[in-house]
Amino acid sequence: MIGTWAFLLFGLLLLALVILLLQRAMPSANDSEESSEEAETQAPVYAQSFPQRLVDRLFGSEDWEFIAKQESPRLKRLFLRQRTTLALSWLLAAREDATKLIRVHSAAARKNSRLEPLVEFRVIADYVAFQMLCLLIALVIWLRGPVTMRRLVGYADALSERLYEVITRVLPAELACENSKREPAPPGSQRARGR
Amino acid sequence: MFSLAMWLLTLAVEGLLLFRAVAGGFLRKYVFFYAYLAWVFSLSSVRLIIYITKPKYYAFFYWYTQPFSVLVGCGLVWEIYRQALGRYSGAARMARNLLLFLLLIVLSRTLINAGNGSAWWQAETTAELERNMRTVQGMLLIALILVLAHYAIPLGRNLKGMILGYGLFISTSVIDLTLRLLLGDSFQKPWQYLQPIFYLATLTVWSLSLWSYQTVALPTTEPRIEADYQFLAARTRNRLFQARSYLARTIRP
Repeated sequence: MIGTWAFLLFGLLLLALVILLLQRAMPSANDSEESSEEAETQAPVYAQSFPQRLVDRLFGSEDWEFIAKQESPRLKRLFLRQRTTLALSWLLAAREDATKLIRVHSAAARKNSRLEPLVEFRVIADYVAFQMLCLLIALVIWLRGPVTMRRLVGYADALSERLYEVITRVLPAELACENSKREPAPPGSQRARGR
Repeated sequence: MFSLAMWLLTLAVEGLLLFRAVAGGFLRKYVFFYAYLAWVFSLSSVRLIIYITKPKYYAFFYWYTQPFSVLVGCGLVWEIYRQALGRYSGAARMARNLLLFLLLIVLSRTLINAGNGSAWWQAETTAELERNMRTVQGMLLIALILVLAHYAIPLGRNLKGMILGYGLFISTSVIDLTLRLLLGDSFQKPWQYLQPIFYLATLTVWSLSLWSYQTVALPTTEPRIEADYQFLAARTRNRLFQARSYLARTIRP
């Protein structure tokens, strides 16, 4: 019975995919598009249209602390709504940049006879992982707002650091010794964050 | 009466499509597609004759010839692959590997079923066998469409119509056959109406898109990006990694 529903679902999925992909996802290549894409390869991937100072302020708690002192629920709501919209726009710009990058990559790779399918799968997996991360962040921003998000991430960082300490204490001696030889950076530390 | 009228209508459209290709001189351009169409046209004509003259043999003849039609249909997937990816060796290589991987999965499953002593297609009836074969074709078509979409391969009107029509036909066939197997004889009547209607829809898509030959507009300039694939892939991955690190840095307190 489950198999039957799977076949039905598959049929519907194929039907939807055929219609969707043929309508939207197959832009015919033209000169201007190619040349503009080429120019885009030289640009950084991340949403540079948002200056770093603005992004830091967007996710920072300083403005929120000021608004919170005003004790006006309407103002708080308005502030949170605007910040959420801004943060989501920033995230959308980052996603669009990544999409441009992968388009440029595929435009260059599609004629390359030395293309390696496994490497190509890894590139696609990286891209999908990036998009998933963006969606996850967008979901948290949408649910809790950008200010709370930083606090949540900070809390998760502190939790994982504590967990790391507990695990290194509980680990058997040999594993702990092996661990110390590898010298992993604890989560949340400067090195682990790549700063 | 309705079934017979639909039957004659689909035969007429198939004949018209073949005639247009011969008259327009583009039959050789899509040789596998028209070979499939010619096969369906011939088989449908023979079936019609049997249906009128020896109706009691019709069901037997239909179910015994249908798996061959599905096999000939694989030529259409090959045609789409050949036409769309002929000029794109990288994308073609990716598609080949993906299709081969899918076929290996299907083959492994079939062999495991055979090893376990169950029917090797896990099909007790010819309808079930046809549905399973159509599903495999659908999987191949989905993989091909994903590769075409990912590499933004330019498709002409002819090829787009071919994919849309065949995708429509396979998906509705899988749904139709599954419902028939699920609901049994109670679905026989609607099935007799739905199947020719969906097939006529497919033929309509093909008629509109393959009425005349249209060459694919190719980009006059290709991106002048590195010929070294390894370098290109490494750079793309590096930039995606940079973007991910940037996101992580930003959202961390």
